[in-house]
Amino acid sequence: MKKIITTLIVAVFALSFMLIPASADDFNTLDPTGLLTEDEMLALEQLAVDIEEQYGYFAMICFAENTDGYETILDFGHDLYNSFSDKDYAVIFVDDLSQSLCDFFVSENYEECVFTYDVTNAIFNAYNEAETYYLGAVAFYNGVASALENAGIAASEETTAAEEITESVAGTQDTTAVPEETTAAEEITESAAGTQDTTAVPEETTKYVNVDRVLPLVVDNADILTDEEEAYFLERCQTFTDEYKCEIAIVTITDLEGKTAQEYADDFYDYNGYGYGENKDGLLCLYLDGEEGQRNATLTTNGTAQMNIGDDEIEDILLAIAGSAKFGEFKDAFDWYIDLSEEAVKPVPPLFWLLICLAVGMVIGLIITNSMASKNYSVHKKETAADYVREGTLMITGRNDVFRNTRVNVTPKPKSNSGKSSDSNGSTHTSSSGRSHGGGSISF
Amino acid sequence: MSTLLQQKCPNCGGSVSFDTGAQKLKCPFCDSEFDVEAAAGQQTEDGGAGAVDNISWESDTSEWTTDETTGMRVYMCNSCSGEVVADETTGATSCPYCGSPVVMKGQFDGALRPHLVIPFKLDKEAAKKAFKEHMTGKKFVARAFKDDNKIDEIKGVYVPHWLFSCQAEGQVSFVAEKTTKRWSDADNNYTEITEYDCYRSGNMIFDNVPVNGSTKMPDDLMESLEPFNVNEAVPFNVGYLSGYLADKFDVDATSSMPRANDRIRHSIADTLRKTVDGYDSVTTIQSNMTVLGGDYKYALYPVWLLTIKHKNKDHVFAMNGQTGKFVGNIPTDTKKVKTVGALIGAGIGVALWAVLNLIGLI
Repeated sequence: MKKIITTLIVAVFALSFMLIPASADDFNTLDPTGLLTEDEMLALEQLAVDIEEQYGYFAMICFAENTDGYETILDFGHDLYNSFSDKDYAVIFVDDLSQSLCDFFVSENYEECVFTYDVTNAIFNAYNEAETYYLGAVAFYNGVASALENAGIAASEETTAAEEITESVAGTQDTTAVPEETTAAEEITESAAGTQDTTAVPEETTKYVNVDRVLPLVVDNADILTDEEEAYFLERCQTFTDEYKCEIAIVTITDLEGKTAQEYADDFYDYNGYGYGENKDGLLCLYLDGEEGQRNATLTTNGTAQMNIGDDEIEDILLAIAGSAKFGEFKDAFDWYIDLSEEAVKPVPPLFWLLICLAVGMVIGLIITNSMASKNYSVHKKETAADYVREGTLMITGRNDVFRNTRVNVTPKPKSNSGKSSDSNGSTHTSSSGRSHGGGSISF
Repeated sequence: MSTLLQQKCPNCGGSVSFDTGAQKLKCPFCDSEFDVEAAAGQQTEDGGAGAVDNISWESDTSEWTTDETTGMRVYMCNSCSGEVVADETTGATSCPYCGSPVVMKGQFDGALRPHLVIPFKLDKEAAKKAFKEHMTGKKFVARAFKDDNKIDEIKGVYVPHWLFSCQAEGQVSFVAEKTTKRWSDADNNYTEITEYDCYRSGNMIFDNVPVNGSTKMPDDLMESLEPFNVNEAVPFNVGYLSGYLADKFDVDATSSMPRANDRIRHSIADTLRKTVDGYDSVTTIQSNMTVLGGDYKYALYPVWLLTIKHKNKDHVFAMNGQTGKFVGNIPTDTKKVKTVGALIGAGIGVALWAVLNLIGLI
């Protein structure tokens, strides 16, 4: 038994050196046994790069000598995914040469699944019918591209740009890469597939991103919620969204990746397509987990939520979240968040507006009638005797203006933090996408 | 005290009255017309009072003569204690100030005689027409004020006034400010304001500043009737009083002086204030006024008067008998104002609500 364990450890160790390089600069086609020429490798790499650029999918084919140390080929593929892919969406094909067995590892949005059994089976058949390993790899990449094309999948521009950044932070999970260049001045209306791995922040952005949401309303990256709690909040958020036409989301993380909490929340909201309808109405609570004093709760609001949730309400919500979260009571914290947000965005009863309109009308009506009635009064005391000054008799006999003093009045300028202004219900700021947000942050 | 004096026609001996259109005395019996001065001269020849010219209160103060007061009777209002004077043939039946019945108190015993009188230029019909125009277009007026029958009670009254004339000299101190510099830094906006002490002095001549000499006539009502054109005033002659009531002053010149001073002081201060220009704000600190060569006269101003009692309160309307200017506060039905305002407001409110709903703001 001991011998078997030792053999397994050595095998895995050796395999890790053979198959899983530490650098992400390696080819998407892994060929440790030398089945392909260098030119073939380069040609296949171009196909993989094209897929990434066009569809935002990470595609890889691996001709493994064996998959010892893994229970299944799928597990091996999963390990490859964790080691090489910085994207949420990936398709990896592994051919275990020792067993002559193949399998696919696929990571994608389960609601918009592209690589169904039929698709992967078709790709496998094409691969199997190829005369050489190279042609088989070509068949794989072409099959992947064809499937993505047929599914109408396209990569967003910032996704591609984000790669340059995410490569430097290999190992971190998706989210907030910053592209060096973007032409996101144009609205990005492409499908969001392939964009969930980024909250890319364009350096020069004048318009908003306008992508569809692909992430769920509850994203527990910090893993602080149980599965039951996650399902519970998912349902609450969805109910809230449906009832008030205003999306509400919860995101938990453990790392801000160099951003401020507000920037992270804004970018997460914008670049992951949160928000209801064309105006992207909604709010998002970002909870940063960590040690005491490092924890942070941040709200970002947009559209109707921005209009309805003022600074005072945001402060109340954040305090309520912090009050529970600092004791680890996250369910209570997010319940407070949803409850208080509901109070703020709940539509005012129509009767209230009618009463307001009537009150305004009454004031106007009384002003009108009093103005009409004022014409009934024509008796007024005369203050001066100007009518009785003899014309031309005014003589100014003394005129003297003497400087007395000078004083300086100091008026503080209105505070404007980070471009905040107060032309809406509460203070606002502009996110990296150029969109106006409300919100606030609290650390505890 | 109001006085209604009846002159006699020299031709037929009938009672004559002053015709505002012809500006002459007219006999309704023989249609003879007489200049007031001629009629007065006739009466002088008959032993009546002499004409009054160039009256100065200091030098030309005169008393009523017995001839002038012979035909005049004093009537007293038991309601407001107002005294009216009417001639013995016409008499007076109601008080011009409160509309209450009056009773004859006895023969008028003249005190200070007016220096000037501004004759009525507009007759009763003109006054009634002016009253109707005054009421036209007015909202929320009590029904009683629209009753035409009341208009017939309008009366012509000579109201006593003291006319003050003087050269006034004023000295006024001001503090004036102006913004001389503005700048700002990252945190604040700065405004430099420079203050100046300003002094102005000057003088001007005031002619015939009127002060109401009757306690029965509200001061603000009389001042609202201004201005009267004193250039059209003539030396007092009892002939002008014929057909009208006349009131005797019950506020003497001395008591009227503070009001005249007040108006003159405000005038000169305002005039000097306007010479302090080029500043953002000017505040008056102190003002002094000296009156040089002041004198005053006693004059009678022509006023058409209508008093309407409403809810136990007298509402006085008056028309300048010389210019036709009509003034008077019309009692307003405040309940009606509120009710109509509420109804209009409700309509506006509902319309506003509908519009906001229509455009999707609520």
